[in-house]
Amino acid sequence: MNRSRFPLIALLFGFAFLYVPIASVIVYSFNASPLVTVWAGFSTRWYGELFANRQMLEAAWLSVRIAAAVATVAALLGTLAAVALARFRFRGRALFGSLVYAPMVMPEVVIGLALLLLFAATRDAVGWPETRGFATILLAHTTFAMAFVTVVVRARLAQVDRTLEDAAMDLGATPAKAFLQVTLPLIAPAVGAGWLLAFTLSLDDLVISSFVAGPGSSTLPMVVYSAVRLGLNPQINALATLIVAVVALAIGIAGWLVARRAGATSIS
Amino acid sequence: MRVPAAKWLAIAPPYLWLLLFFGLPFLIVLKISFAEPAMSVPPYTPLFARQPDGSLTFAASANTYATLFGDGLYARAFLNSARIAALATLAALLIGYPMAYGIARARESWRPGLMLLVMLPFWTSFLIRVYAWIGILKPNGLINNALIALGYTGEPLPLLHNDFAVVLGIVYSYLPFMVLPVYAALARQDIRLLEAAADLGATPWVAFWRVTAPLSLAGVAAGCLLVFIPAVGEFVVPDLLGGADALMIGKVLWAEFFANRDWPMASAAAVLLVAALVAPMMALQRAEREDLGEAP
Amino acid sequence: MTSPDSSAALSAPLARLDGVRRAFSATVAVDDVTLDVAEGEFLTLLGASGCGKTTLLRMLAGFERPDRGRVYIGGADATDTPPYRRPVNMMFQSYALFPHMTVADNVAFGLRQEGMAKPMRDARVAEMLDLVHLTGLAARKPHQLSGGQAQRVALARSLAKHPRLLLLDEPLAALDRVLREKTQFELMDLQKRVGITFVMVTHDQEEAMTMSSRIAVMNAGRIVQIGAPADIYENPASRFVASFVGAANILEGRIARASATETDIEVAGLGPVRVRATDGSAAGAACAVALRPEKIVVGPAPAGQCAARGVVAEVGYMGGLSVYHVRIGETLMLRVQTANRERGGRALAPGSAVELHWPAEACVPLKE
Repeated sequence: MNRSRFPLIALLFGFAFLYVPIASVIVYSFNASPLVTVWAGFSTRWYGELFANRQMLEAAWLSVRIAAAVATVAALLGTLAAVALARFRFRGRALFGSLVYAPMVMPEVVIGLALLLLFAATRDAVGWPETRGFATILLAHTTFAMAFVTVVVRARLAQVDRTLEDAAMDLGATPAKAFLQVTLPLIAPAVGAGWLLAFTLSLDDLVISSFVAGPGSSTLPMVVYSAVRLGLNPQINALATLIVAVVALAIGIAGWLVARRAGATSIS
Repeated sequence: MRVPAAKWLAIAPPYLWLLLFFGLPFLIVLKISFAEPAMSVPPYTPLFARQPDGSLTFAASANTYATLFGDGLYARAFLNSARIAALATLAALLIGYPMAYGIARARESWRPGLMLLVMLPFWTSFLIRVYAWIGILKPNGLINNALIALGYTGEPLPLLHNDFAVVLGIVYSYLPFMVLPVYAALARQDIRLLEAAADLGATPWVAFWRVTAPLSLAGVAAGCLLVFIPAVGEFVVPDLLGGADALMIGKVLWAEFFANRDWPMASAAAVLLVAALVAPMMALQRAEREDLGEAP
Repeated sequence: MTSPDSSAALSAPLARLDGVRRAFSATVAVDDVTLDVAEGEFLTLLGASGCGKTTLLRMLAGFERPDRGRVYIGGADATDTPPYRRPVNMMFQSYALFPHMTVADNVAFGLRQEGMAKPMRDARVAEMLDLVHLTGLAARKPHQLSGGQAQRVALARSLAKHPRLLLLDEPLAALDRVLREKTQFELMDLQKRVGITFVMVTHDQEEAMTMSSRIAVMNAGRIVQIGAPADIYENPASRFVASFVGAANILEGRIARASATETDIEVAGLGPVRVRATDGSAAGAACAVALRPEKIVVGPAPAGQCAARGVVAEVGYMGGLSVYHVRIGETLMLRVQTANRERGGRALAPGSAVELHWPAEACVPLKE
């Protein structure tokens, strides 16, 4: 109905704003010259250097492993929290709601500091953790990633027809079976999206990791940050391009899968 | 009608986790904010100490808070952070709302794809994207080179290492957090409302301001809070894109902790930061509940 | 005339709600209701939205627990039994078909919960689909079904476990008129064949009258009258029931003269009206009488019948029937319904003077 040009222009400007930096990074990853200001011809030397950079590769591997573990635990806990908030009344529900969502908006320096202090205190009290590393980063990332999973799953739960669970119970399923056999399959896409979201957040996190990591457990963002503080680094451009490529590919595959199953899980 | 006992199977794991790894840490932060820095491991004085004679002494100090309130530096850092966060929120709204509107008004089949395009940068490395802006904003970076080559200016413009760059960086990083809730609010609106307005004589401009905008206010509020609250304590953007004198509370906290090894001071700053953000956080929680239409 | 309490109690009922009450915050949804459901009957709870009928149904299903009173099913106290352990199944208004399962899996769901073996399960599913004439759609998903088909799947699913009692929550509400009429007869037919007791909830009184063996009319959380459809229609107990079920002219007046078998009531604006019944009230008492529009005949009154004169104010032509609003005197408006028996017969025009008459038996004294 409203055919004005304005929304289209706004969209184009917005997308330009979002993608120009990404485009510039991709372009300069193939720049033979390490300087951003000068284009010295097409080259893939930075990719070669990147793959020879052991520190970077080890950090990447660590980050991916942590992210996968974080995503799985956060998806589980976040889904349980979403179900609890969406379906149940219980004592302490208000506090629970605040605890679930606060990590999402709390500044990361605060969360990182708090968790480091916790680990220092537990080390004092029970001797664990002796050194911070995989486990502490995992616990820290899960705590704040959980909130995002809860948001995504809860939104989907709100769309699921409540009477479906009633119908299942009427037909003889206990509440737990009704949830597992009826509701869970219907929110599965949201849980999957939550898993991916938690994975990304963990993989990308710098501040919290810096607080709770220990010697010998540098994550990829930590290594990138050290490199960047020293100045512009073309290997970073190569790394960024690879990340964009992987993400775009993953989204492409996911989108194709969703399109194939379109309509199969629509909510009545 | 829910089974009373079994529901705790679902509630307990996340609840206990959060109490242990979120609630408890904050209590510890609060406790340490009342300590003093010490040359020990951990580097602060304990609240309760067992003396040689077996008795327990309690030593709390409000030095940290006295310093925070007394030294104008911290007050300036808080205010500056709030100012920058507010500017960034406004800019995010001015850029993000039209984008959300554009997507909501686009053809139905395009909308998921467009939203995906908005989210895609978010899924790539945040750190690297901020870093990318350095190459664009610096004196001999992309923008300045283009402006000089086109003859618009002789001298490179100071686009980096100042408040402008920080605001830009924050807007860039948090834009999806603005676009998503606003889009959700707009997409939910019935197009027939606008048809009714037009039928009653409203031009598209008037219809927007009188019908669409007020109804999208809940989404706008959520988006603004989702940008403002974390932006206040943002660290990476001011550190990479801000000037050396960029006074933001996130940087101050980091510096107190890592550079000065003053854990109590950092803790006190964290406590005050959280206290300042409690009201916006509760507003966000309430908006979220209303949005879902669930039992509060 | 039937009173609410006496015919609600039966011997050896299949289900019984005994003095149940349910309140939500300040609103009382169900207010001290006692109701028996007989084996094999088709009972309808009829009322407007908010009268408590759905809450009552959900009490039988187990989704609502009464604040006071008990629920008995098959003779056993089921008040504390959760819905998944009751021999009761429900057909939901929104059908509530599981979108991620095929039609066959939907119908088989209840049987799986029982642990029925696969061969038996498949046979039962086939039997159910055949019952509702949907054989061949077993592999479809709910979003691939039409509204009528989805409704039948919901029905098949709720019958699959051969429950003793089937609850239907406004089952025909989502269907268009033609489909609704067709489905009404199919449901009645099905119920007789399968022999399961049906309890249905609806606000559509035509539906209730067509399908039920007994109707319980509800208002404000209480059953105001219960009985066979003809009983409810021809002997309404109150102004509410008379107006809710079908249309009625409510004539207010005072008893002028009462005998053992007849009562003469002086109706304002109309004159004396004779009623072939008596309830023992004395002369001078206020009294109201219900007169159904189709009982009033247009034309000069033969001997022994009540008569009235008036002017036609409005005419409603509905094809098979015509409805006239006739003004009597200054204050009274009578609704008259006539079948248009002759093709090309002349209808009354607004403004024409008419004579009306009806037999004394047509008037029903109302208790409240």
